[in-house]
Amino acid sequence: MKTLIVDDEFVSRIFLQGILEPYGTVHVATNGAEAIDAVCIALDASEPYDLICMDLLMPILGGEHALTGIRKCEQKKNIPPASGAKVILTTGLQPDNSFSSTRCNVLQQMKKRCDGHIVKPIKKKAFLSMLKDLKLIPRKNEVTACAS
Amino acid sequence: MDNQKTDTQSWKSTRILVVEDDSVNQLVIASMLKKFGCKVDLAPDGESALQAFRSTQYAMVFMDIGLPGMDGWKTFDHMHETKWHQNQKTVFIATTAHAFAEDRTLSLRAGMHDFVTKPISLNIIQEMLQKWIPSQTTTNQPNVQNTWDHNKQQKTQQPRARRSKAPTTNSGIFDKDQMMECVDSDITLARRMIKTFIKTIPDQLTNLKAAIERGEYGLAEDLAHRIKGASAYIGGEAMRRTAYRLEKSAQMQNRQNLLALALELEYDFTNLKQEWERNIV
Repeated sequence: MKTLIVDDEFVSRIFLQGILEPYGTVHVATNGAEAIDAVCIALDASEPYDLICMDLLMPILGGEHALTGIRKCEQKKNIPPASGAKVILTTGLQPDNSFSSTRCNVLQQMKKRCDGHIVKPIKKKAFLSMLKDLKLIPRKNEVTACAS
Repeated sequence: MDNQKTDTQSWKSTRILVVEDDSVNQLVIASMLKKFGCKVDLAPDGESALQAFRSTQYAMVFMDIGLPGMDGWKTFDHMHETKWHQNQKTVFIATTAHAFAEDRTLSLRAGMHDFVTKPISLNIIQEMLQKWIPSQTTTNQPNVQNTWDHNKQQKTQQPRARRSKAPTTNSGIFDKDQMMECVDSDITLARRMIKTFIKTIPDQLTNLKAAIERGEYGLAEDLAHRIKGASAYIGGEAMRRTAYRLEKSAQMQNRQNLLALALELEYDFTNLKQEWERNIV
């Protein structure tokens, strides 16, 4: 599994990197613009990402615009929408009383466009179980089945 | 929680210096501290406080910042410089008659650990002891005359052992359980995250203060949001709460208030690092 972590916060990146490295190559981008570049470069090299962990609020370019850019890159390479990279929205945003309606809308829209949504701080167990649900990593019994 | 019990022997022989010019306040604070088993010395002014501090090792100092003559700040500065203090981890609590946020901010910025407003109640005393000094209720070591000295000789092994038994959420600074849940008890990953945190947070705090100074409140909000996110991962409870408050207050655009919160965040960060030294790294 090849992964791209998109997050402007260092500790979050280290956390996801630590969890994902055992499963394959992991690249990082610190904002949406870098993410689009990384995806385009990977597509050009015919080594696309299987998974993108995308933060929402980031400087330069936020998650929602980054995702638009990424899907455009994939379109250009004639990759059907369902075969593109799986995207998990990773954000600390949780609607509360003081949550502005704009941010609320952005979050709702993004959730619909992503394959999964997980709230920070992410729990390793919950995250791995989501990867299994998305069939990005095998379940335990599947591994033993293959091994035997 | 076990250590919430008001055991009069909880802080037996813990030496505390009360620097206070008002004789009534002196008596009140001293008698309350004695209820928890503490050994209390009194100093009515900065000079005698310094004298006491140089000759005795104190676990905690209650410092009246409104002292006549050499005030609490100066006295604290001198204490901070003494050789004694470089080896001993004395906890400094500023006491003041008024609840000005400014006093609080100043005392924290000066490097004191905490701040209380007079009149000081038994509850406040207990809270400060519980928050800052490992209680002895969980140990059953006989004949330890001065646990603080003992700890020091053992390079604070004692409090570390005790603290790890106590619920880590008790201090409100570091929630180890929260972090361990995130990393699913992967201590190597936890250490890596803590190292990253310690390396990156100082710059972020600098940027945050600069943003507030420049009146860029939107940026301050985003920076606080980021610090909040990082704090949540590593179980930095106090930092997470303060960053959250700052994030939410940013829209009100009150510079003084935001700067005070940023300083509080710095203070939380210092505490967190100390807590890690004792607890994990």
